[in-house]
Order: sequence, then structure tokens, then C-alpha cells
Amino acid sequence: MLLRIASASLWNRRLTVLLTAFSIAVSVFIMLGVDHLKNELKTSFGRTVSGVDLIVGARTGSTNLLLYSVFRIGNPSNNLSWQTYQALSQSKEVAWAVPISLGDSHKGYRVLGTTPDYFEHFKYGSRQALVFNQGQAFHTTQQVVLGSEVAAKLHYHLGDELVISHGTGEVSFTHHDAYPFKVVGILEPTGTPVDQTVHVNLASIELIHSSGSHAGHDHPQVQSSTPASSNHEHTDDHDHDHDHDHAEEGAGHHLQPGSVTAMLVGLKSRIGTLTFQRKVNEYKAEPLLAIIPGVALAELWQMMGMVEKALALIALLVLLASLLGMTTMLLASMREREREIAVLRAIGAHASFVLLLIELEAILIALVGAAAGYLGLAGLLALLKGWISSEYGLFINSLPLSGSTLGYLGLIVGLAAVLALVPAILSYRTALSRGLSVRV
Amino acid sequence: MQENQPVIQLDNLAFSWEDKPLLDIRHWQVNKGQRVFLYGPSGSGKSTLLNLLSGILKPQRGSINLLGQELTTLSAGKRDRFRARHIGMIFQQFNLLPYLSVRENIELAWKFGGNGEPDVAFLKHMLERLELHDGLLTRKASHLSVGQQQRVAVARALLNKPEIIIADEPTSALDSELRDQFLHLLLGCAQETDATVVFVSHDKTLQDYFDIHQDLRALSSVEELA
Repeated sequence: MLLRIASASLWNRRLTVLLTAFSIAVSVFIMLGVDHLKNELKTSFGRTVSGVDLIVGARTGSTNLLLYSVFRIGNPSNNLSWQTYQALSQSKEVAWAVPISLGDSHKGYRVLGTTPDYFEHFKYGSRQALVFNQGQAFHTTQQVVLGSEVAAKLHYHLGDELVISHGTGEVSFTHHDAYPFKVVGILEPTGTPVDQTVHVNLASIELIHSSGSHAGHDHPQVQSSTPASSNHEHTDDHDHDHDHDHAEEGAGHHLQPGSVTAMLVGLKSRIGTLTFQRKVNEYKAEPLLAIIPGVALAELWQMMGMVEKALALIALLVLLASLLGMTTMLLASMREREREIAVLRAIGAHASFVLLLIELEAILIALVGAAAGYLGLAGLLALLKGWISSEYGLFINSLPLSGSTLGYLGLIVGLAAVLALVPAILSYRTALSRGLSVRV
Repeated sequence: MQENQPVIQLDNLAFSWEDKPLLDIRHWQVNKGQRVFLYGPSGSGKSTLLNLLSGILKPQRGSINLLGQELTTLSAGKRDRFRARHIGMIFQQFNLLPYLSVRENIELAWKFGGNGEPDVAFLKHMLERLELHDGLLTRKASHLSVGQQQRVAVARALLNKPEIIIADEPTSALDSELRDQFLHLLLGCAQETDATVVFVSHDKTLQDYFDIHQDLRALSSVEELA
């Protein structure tokens, strides 16, 4: 009976009620949206690297090392010498070690120099290995493997050629034109920065930087074995370019990199991780830093916690504003409702019936608003999921009706009920004192 | 038993609002079946008396006895239940919740009365008697004319077969022709159910319909109110 009266009364004032519910829906949308995005980012954050026990780089901040080695954000301040790399990778604790070298780009996408082992050892998500959508890993210094987004955005297919540029800006003035790469592999999407990465052989990086790409061809003693049969026509091109180049400063270069940006390390036993980490951090020959990816990720996320809190606060304030709007709406209608109250009292309704009626109306408005906000967000996410992942490389899952989401919705309805106490108690008191008489 | 059985009995009653005395009634009695015209110009404490009689307000002093039940000793909830069951109220206007249908408005009163199943035959008879056809029941109350609304209010007030009908200027919104028709219907229906009628109005031309005429100002010793 109460419910029937409340809903009929709300329907009677549907325009203001729907506008109020809409403003609540918007704030629910923002609140859940911020929360969901935060959770999704956190998850995708944690997914970026797994199966790597330590990341070793030159001494710097652990966040910095994590950012440039895993997220390809920022630039390394210092490199790691090749000697150190070799020494560490031959330590008895180490099961495998993969060097990575950054600093070049292709049309705004970072180029990662590494060894073919990278595709075997680098894991993401819950220890998922990288999978080739097409093709395979590079084997020569003129081959490149593209992340899924790079291939999709730039419309590259197997066999296409591309050049990489010096530096990491979108616009670079130094193009390593003399040294084109052929696409031999395209990876499956991972939802991690791997998708936005151009992978080349570590030796290729050395080649294109050794002031005259001809050097590589003159001395093909590249560290990872280059098949001698590789692209003869390219060799011709390079010889041609070479004519315009200046003298062979790079002659005699061993094509062993002098240094790498960082190394990814897998240990034989994870129990020894901390010990090995300390060993690396106290390395005598060079100042080094070893980080445990999970720990560094957690630290980084903590830093972002401030932003997250600020967003949550804004969402909460928006919610409060819309709930206050609802209270105002209920209060404004109180005067015209004195007659209703008198009628209800006359036929025997207790004053608390009036209080419950106002409360129920507020709860109904909040419920409609909360449900609309939730459905709106869920619908929008379902619609835009594909677009977000292709445009931003973010994999946003659909909105779950999880405990925390329900908790938020419950909080909103609860807050509405508390704020509605103001008009409810006012009408309760009106019902008690004014009773059957109405101010006309 | 018809005669001299008090239905309403007020004794030594005083009510004041924020230290301002509004009503002071030494003794007033209404017997069963009587039709009382209570003349109350504005400011005579009319609405206060109605609130007291219906048990919404409690007097500071004195006794209100309805049907042998002392109202002042009942809790607020019990007074509300007493009102729902034993008193039918009719206001001058806006007797119905405008957004509910006529049927829902009537049912609401029956639910508060809590008298088990509604007497459908009686309701049907009342509606016929009040010249309300079945089609009106599903209409929204706000879509009815004022005259129809007032008749629905009578039907609702009588549904629980209350012993007391309190009508507060129920004809002031009606024109003279409808007013006569309405008063005939109201008093006729009340007679059928043996209900006592207290009719409050500031319009003395209506008093000829009633057995007993009472001026509220003479009843209450508190006067000169703004």
C-alpha cells in the first residue's frame, strides 16, 4: 500500500522526479566509472609483466627503471655495460637473462632491441607467453616483430618494410633510412605495452647506430647469428648509401653492444630472489639497481593512489550534490503535499506513515537513479570496449555487478535515505501538529 | 437505547497552542443518531476542535470520550486506529489523493480501518445511492468534478460504517444546487448506517438541515482570537 502510494505520487510528479533521478544517475555513472576504471587500470598494470623475477638496470629510482623498461615511459638515464650483462647472466642463480635496449622509435612507437629469447621468456598476465598472430620471431638484424597495435594502426603486414628513427619522439629528424627492416612477425594483442612496441634484434640497434650501417654488412659477426643468405638486394642498397657516407669509423666494431638499457632476469629458484637482488645492488664494477617487478608495480600504484583518491572525492561530491538536489525537490513539494498528509491522517494513517512515505519516495528515486547510472555505464562500456582497446590499448572489462559495485549502490541509496530524513521528519511533524487543517 | 446515549462527550477540556489558549469547553455532549450543526466562524478554534475530536491532537486538560472510549488515555497509534475505524471525515475539498484511482482511494480507508474483507455489497449500494457509476472507480481522483469528489469522500467515510461522521465545510466548494443534493445524500446515507453527524460550517443557511445547532463561540469560553 505504501509502495503503491509512493510510486503513484512520484509518477504524478514525474518530470521533476525523473530529472532528479537523472542527476543521481549521472553521479552514479561517474562514481562507478572512476572506480571501475581504477580497478581495470590496476589489473592491467599488474598484467604488464610476469614471469620475470628481476629487472636490472643502471642505478636509478625503482619506479623510473620500471617505467622505462616495462611501460616504455621516459628515458633511461644510464645504461648497463655489456660486460656486466654477461657477467650477471652467467651467475649461477640465473636461469635466463634477456637484454633490452631502448632509445629508438618508429612513428611514435618505441623500438625495443632484444634477443629472440625475449619472446620465450617475457610473460604477461597470469604467466601468459607472447603468441605470434602471424609469422615468427626475428632471426636476422633486418627483421622486425610488431606489437599488435603497431601493426593494426600503421597497417603493416608480413613482408612490409619500415625504417626506424633515432630518438623517441613522434617526429624525428634522424631516420635510419639506410637500414630498412622487414616485418617477419606480428604478435597477438596482450593489453600491455608490448602491443605498442616494435621489436628488433639487439644487434640491429648497434648496427644502425654504428655511424654507417654498412658496418653491419661488412662485419656480419652479429651476436645472434645472422644467416648469411639474408636479403641481398638490401645489401646492395646499403652499399649504395654507403657511397654517400663518410669514412668507416665503425670498422672493426664487434657488433656486440657496448651497453644495454636493462636486462630481464629469471632465476632458477625464486627463493633466492632477495639474495640475488642484494647481490646485484651491491655489484662492485658498476652501480646497478635490481627491482622485483611486482613490488615496483605496487609502489608505482601507490603513487597513483593520490590521483585515484582525488577522483573518488570528486565523484563523491557530485553524488552529494545530486542527493541534495533530491532533498530540495522533496522539500519543495512538501507544501503542496500538506493536503495529502491531511487526507492520510484523516483516514487513520499514523504520522510515521507519512515519514515512511517520504523516505520510500527518496529510496525509489535513488534506486531508479542508481540502476540507470549502472546500466548506462555498463551499456556504454559494452559499446565502447572495442574502440577503447583499439584506440588506447586499454582492455576494459565489462562492468561487474560485484560486491563493491553493489556496496556503492547501497551506499547511494543509504545516503539518499539519510538525506531524505530532513523532509520526512518535517512532514512527520506537520502531520502531528497540523493534522487535518491545511494552510490554503 | 436510541436516546441520550452519548457518542461524544467533552468535559473540562482545555487546549492551548504555545501558551495561547485556543479552546476551553466545560461540557459538551452529542447523543447517538443526532445531527449537529456546529457553527464556527474562522478563528473560533474550529480546526483545533476537529483535531481534538479525531484524536490527532491531545488536550492539555480534560477528557474526550467517544463511544465510551476515553481518547486522552490512548496512545497516538491507538487513537489513529480508533479514528480509522470509528470516525468518517469529510473535508471541504481535496478529500482524495489525486494521483490514485477512486477505487484505490476508497480501499485505502478500508485498509487503515482494518475491518477484514470490505463489504462489497455495501460499497456498491453506497455508490449507487451517491449516484456514482462504476466507470468512475477506475478514474484518477483528480479527473473527477468537485461534486463527484465530495460524493466519493462520503462513500469512503461511510465504508467502514463509522459511528461518527465529522464533516468540515464539505459544501463550501459546491454551488447551491449541488449543495442541497449533497446534504440530502450525506444525511440520508448517515441515517442508513445509524451514524451521528457533526457538521461544521460558517454558513448559517445550512443549519435547517440539522436537529441541533451549536455555536462554537458559546461552547468555548476562550474568545477574541485573531
